[in-house]
Amino acid sequence: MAVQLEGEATLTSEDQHSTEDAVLALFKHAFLNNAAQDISLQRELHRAWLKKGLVSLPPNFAGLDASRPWFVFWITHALELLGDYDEPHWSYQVAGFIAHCQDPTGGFAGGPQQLPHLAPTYAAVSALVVAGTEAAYKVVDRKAMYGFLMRMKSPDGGFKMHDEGETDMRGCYCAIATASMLHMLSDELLEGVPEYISRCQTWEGGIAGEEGLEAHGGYSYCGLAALCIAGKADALDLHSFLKWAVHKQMSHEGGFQGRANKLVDSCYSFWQGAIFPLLHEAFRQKGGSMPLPDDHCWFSPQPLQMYLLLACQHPNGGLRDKPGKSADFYHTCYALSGMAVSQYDVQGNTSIVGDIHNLLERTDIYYNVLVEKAERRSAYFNSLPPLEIDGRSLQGGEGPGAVAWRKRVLASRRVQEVDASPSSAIGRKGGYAGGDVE
Amino acid sequence: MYGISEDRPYSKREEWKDVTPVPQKDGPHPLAVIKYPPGFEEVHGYFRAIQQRNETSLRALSLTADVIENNSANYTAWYYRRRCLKELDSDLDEERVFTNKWATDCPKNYQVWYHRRWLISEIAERKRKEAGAEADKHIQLLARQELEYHLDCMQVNSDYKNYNGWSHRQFILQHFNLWHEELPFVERLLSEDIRNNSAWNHRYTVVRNQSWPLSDEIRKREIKFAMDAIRACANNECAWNYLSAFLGEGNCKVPWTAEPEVEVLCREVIDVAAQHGTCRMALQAMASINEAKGDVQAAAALYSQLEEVDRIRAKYWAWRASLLGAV
Repeated sequence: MAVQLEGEATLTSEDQHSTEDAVLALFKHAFLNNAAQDISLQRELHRAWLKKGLVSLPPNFAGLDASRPWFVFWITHALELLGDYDEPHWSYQVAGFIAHCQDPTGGFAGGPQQLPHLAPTYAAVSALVVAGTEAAYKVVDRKAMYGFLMRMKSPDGGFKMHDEGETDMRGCYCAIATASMLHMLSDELLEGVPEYISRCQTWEGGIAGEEGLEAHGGYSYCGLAALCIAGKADALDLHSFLKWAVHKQMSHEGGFQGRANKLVDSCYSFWQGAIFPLLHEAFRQKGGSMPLPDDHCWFSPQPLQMYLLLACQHPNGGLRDKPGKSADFYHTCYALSGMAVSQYDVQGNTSIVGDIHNLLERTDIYYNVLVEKAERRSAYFNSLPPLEIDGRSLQGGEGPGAVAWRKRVLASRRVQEVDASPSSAIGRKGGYAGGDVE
Repeated sequence: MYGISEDRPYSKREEWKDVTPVPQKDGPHPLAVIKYPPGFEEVHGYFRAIQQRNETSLRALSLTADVIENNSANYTAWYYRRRCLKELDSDLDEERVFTNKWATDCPKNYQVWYHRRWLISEIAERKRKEAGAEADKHIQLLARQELEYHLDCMQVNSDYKNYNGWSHRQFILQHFNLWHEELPFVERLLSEDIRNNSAWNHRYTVVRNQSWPLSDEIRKREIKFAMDAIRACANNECAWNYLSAFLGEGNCKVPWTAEPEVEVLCREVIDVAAQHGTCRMALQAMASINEAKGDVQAAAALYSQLEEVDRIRAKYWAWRASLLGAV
């Protein structure tokens, strides 16, 4: 049989072609009507839409009533990325509301008086870190939290999402990141975790939600970030991971897909996009003589930003998954987070598509809060005396990987501040590079 | 039926008059405040009250159905529902009927699928205890019905890649040890859509559970399967990925040079593709073959070709080339 390049059309290829057509039509429209430097992030629109949602949500959000700390995190983090998080105005309210989602037995729930659950626990603690005040940090009952995290450990090395609940890769990340943010990442909490995550790395190279399932961008981020925080990324086959991840950036659309032969989706700008700096860090943790590139950009930041700016901004504010969808807070948070990750390389150089004011604040690749907020939180918890649990003092910290990365980022920032010239603020690769899209 | 609810508000129902609803405590500074639709707050108020009383009764069970009707992602309600079902020793076949619509209507909902997983395990456990000699037959039937149900869900939604659904299927296969019957199902799905990566992944997992460690025969069969798929549709990333699951370095793999027909195929694809552009997967596979041969120059040439034609991954290909001398 002769080789066929395209073969017969199937559901997958039909969906792919119509998505490509929709995205490319928007690109053409933008290039015909805009000068390159006019391609801009509609900050005013987005911030107004975000602030409205942080206060109140319409009745069709009832199905998300078990995710309220997530809304607080998605929205406040999106605002801080835009440089528009008003600390005196919001932080008091964030601390006050999140406190009402805390369970007396430890952990946070999806809303007041619900069952504590690892996903809203991560979201709640991140929202408190975004809030950035001592009063916000103090909301967390750390002793009870540690008990909750240990209670969620399941015998296979993973974490249950809640009492008698499902175990999957989200649990690992939510538990490890939460423990790290609160300086409670202990050996007993980590026991069996690297082995569990390693078993979920698939034949494709990425990580699955559970052993046997398909490699997936969200779960890949969760597993890799958890291991990198703990300094244990050498449990994975990093080369096959990287090979899988680079192929998830779409040749025409510029954004990422979450799995092979699925459609581009803006939320993977973060889940897949952050995998590259994480892998850069993971290779470093593994050591050895293999030469690492100067930066983590094994992928192309510029086409990614092009996709987000031209195809994902909704005219009424917010960002969307892809053309034809409506904007939502989840996609807005992770589209902006992914854009921020792609704008800075390991050395702190920036890469900005379009208007130079499109540059966002830098996010911490481990927790997805601003680097500065992660540092502020770290200083606070470092200043506390060791936590006493059942008469013994807890031997747990942030995790060596999380500390090392932030130190390097902050050091490179200081170097840049010293030899700051007007051009270095814009960055060596700033501006438009439409050619990469083709 | 536990799932049926009536229209009268709870405050007007005789059987609920001993219960005072508990309001939600949002505190003085609530954020992300949802303007709840009519009836939502009342149902949840009674649900909070029932939890506070730690009541696991028939009425509590039926109340959880109402809460789930209002918000099927309410994991607390699903959790509490399982508690009621256990303590009331409820008829779980009826419960299966109750969950049917949720998995087809809300296929991306973790709670529904987890509930279903619990339910099927529990039903099987009970049958095992009750049915004696017939038990195995009933349990096998139950498991097969569940696999059918997964297929129905995919068909109803025209979504053959739903992650939670696949998770459920693999759980059933594992729990009831049915991997050995699964290959024809995979082949059917792949014949319908050769680009469905969920089906490719499932194929690998079936092989992993059924034929591990790999014999030469099975490995050859899988390599041939991938090669035939590449022939039929060379720009399909899944088939190339599947091929490389059995070639290279690692557990149960053989070197890229072990199957000479792979190189023949790569060359053929590269030739055909040259008339229309390029096939990055074929170039990548060819580079791996050359690396395995120790032909660094040929591999480097392919990586630099990839750097030219696959611009979005240019830096990755340049880095791969830089590793050739170093490793």
